[in-house]
Amino acid sequence: MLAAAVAASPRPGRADPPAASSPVSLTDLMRTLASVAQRQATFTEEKHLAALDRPLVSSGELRYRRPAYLEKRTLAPKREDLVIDGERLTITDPASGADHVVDLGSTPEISALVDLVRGTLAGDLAALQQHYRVAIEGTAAAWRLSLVPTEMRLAGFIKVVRIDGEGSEPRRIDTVQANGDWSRMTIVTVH
Amino acid sequence: LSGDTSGRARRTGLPILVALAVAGMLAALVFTHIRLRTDMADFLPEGQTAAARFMLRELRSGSVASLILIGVEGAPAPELARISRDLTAALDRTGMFSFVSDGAAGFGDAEEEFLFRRRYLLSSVTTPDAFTEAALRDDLAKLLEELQSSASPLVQRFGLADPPGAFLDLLRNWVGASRIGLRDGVWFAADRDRALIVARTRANGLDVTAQGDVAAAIDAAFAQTRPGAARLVKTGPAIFAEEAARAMRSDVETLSIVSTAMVALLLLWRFRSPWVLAAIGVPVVLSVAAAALAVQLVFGFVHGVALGFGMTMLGVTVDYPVLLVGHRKQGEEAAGTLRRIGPTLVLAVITAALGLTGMLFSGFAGLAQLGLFAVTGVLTAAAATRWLLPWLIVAADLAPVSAGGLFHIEQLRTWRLWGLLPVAIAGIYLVWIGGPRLEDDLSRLSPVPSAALALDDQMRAEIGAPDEVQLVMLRGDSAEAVLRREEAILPQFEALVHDGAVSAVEMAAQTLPSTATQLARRAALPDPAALAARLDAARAGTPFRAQAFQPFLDDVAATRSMPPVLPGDITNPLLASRLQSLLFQRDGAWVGIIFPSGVNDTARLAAVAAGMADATFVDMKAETNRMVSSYTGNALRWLGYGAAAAMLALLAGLRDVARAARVAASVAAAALVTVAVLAAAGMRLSLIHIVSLQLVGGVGLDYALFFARRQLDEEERARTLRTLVTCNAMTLMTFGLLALCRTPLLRDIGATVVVGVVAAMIFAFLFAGQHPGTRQRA
Repeated sequence: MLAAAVAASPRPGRADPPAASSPVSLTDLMRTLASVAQRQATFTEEKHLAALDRPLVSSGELRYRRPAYLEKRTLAPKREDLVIDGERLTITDPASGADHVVDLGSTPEISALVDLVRGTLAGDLAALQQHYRVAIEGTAAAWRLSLVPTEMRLAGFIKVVRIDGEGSEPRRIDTVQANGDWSRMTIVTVH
Repeated sequence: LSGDTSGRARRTGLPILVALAVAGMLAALVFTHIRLRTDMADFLPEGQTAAARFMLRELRSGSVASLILIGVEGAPAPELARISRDLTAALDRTGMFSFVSDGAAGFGDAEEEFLFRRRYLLSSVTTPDAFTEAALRDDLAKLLEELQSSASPLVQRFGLADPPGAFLDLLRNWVGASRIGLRDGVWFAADRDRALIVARTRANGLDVTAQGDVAAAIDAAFAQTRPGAARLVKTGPAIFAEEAARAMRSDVETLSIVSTAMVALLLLWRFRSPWVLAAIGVPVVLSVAAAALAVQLVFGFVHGVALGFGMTMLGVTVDYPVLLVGHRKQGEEAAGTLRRIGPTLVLAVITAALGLTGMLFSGFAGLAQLGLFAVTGVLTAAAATRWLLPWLIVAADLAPVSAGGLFHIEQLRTWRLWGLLPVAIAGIYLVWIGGPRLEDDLSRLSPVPSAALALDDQMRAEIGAPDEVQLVMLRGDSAEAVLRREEAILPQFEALVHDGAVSAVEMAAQTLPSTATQLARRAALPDPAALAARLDAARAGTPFRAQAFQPFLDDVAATRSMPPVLPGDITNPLLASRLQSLLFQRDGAWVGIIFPSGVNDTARLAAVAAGMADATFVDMKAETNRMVSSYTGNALRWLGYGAAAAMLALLAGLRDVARAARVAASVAAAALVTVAVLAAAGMRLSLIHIVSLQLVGGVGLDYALFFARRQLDEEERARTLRTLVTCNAMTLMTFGLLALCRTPLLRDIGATVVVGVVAAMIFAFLFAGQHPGTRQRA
């Protein structure tokens, strides 16, 4: 079923995973991911929505600190700061200066996506498996995680999320929604 | 005296046993036939104002009294969430609750669907201006921006079908400002691992029996969730009542065993016979049965509080049989003992009964019950002591082993003027502090442990439940009339919010507009063709595709033929429960409640309400406090009238002003010192203290009257002293132990009675008894 979902989903410009010289195990990958205490990266995000005749593109910076801090700072085209610390998600719109605090538990759509990114960066398999069925393919050098929601409510919204990465670095996150809309986040680590 | 040996030969306790068994059966018969009510509201006086009557009704059946907050804690959060969900489902199945939620049902699909479909009727966003090309262009620009942001999942769900944002506006009003945090899909306290459940019982919140069943059902349902290490905490007025009753039961059970054992040992040592205990039991059991029967016959039911407090007052009756037995000479016939102590005993009983009679005429049903109970009880116990007991104790040959000596103890009376010193200090202290303060907190009358109150405060804050202490009430002939009125006055309340007098107001019209308003909104919606044309124009130059807004066009078109939403249309339990506390029908009229929260300026709020002819400002806290303190004040006043009547009885009975004055003074001195000690200990005088003071007064009268008897000889005086000390020790053993209770109410009774009867004993001995000097001269 996972394979079907993956096959059915649009995979624009996606290269095939590198040849499996030595297949990586889920636990090994999680251990590798968990070994990084702090991350900093830039991102570019493309949203392809059925309602729009062209994709929406945004870019900015990502910051992560183990175990539960994640900051997504969108710089273009419009500033927006999103900070998740523990169970608290704050979205700041620097234009208005207003903080919008969201309780992660009360917005399942947002929290499911947040947990997914954070869980991956933390190498927290248990957290991921709480909401998703997790599958892995590829090698330690070039891997792909596929996450399919296990809960009805979430599955009605997200079809599958694929994360491609190299070593301890996630490179690209593709999110395919149930209604066919999809988005891609490309990540470049800042060293 | 000559019958001594023959009396011993015929000695048998059998008649006492038979009498006790008969009395016990009578009591059992009475108690299986009376209707016991435990509803605190039945004990309260009728409200004097519309606000007070409304508050009483709410206390009886309203949302305040029936709310139960449940917490699950002591396990990892996911496990707590699971238990919370299971428990909620189980509680829902019991049918005992009109509403129960763990937050999972929160604003679910059903609620969202209902509101989403009717968004253009219910939301104030619907105006003709909201559907112009210009407005739509702004809406689309905003939508695009939001799609770009992190909130895009929500925008996709609701935004495309609703560019003007009517639904999000609606959601804000329905969900309200106070939001509880969710974790693992259920409500959790913000700063601790505690899953929260809110429940409203169908049963009246003040019905202790029904609420006991509810509490038991919650415990049982919790046990079935396989909770493991997790713990259940629950709070709310209903739970208080139940917990208090349980705490009292366990306190009373332990203490009554200990105190009965101690009293039995004392009587055994004093009278060398176990039959005395049974002999005391006969009048006491008879008096309780007669008292309960009398209250049942007059009022049609017996209130639990009247029964409990009434039995406290009947503590005085325990002394009557002891006074009789203690004054009997060895082998004496009944007539002899009665000749010596009969008149004094009768006077003591009449005076005590008159002192209690005041309450009968207080006009408050609860106090009247209490008064009737106590008066009937005292008279019955006295009658049993006068006519039944002499025969029984002679048969069992009960009497003190010896009268004992006086050991010059009466010499202490030489310095009795010193006894005025504590009385003077107490009087000056009470005048200095401006009299004892009266208790005005209703919760003190129902015996809730302070830990339970603290937990309640904590959980209320966690769940963001309104205190519901202040509100504005509107009345109208129909729901429509109330809603229109609310819409008209809403601006005045919004001004209060704007000025910071209150932080928010909640009223039904915010969530359910009047039919008139809904029809006006419906009329403001453009026809489908016009809207489609405007939307196309607004869309020009944006990346939005035409079909993206088809749901919006369809929904606006559907709304144009939709009937207005009436209160009865809202059948979804969650939405209905939200509206029920704000708009409801009472006595044929419709009542709208406006709840302010975060009130900073009560005076301005009250002034705004006062400016509206049909609105009533209700301050629940102030209203209850006023009612309870007036209740306490009334009880105190009728205690005074009772005391005056008792004084007249004393004068008539003793026919000696000086002696009557000395008897009354010794009782008054004891009461004064007791009140002063309680005030100094920081206690506020409540009905509990007044009831206890009644007991002290009754006991004090016994002491004083017996000390004040025209003394016969030294032997009789010794008998009196020893008997009264025995009575005093018995009272201390039974009531003194109460002072060690966990239950505040019992502790208050215990403390008052201990201080009171010790003071009564000392002052009666010093002031009521004759000065040794005067007697020697006489």
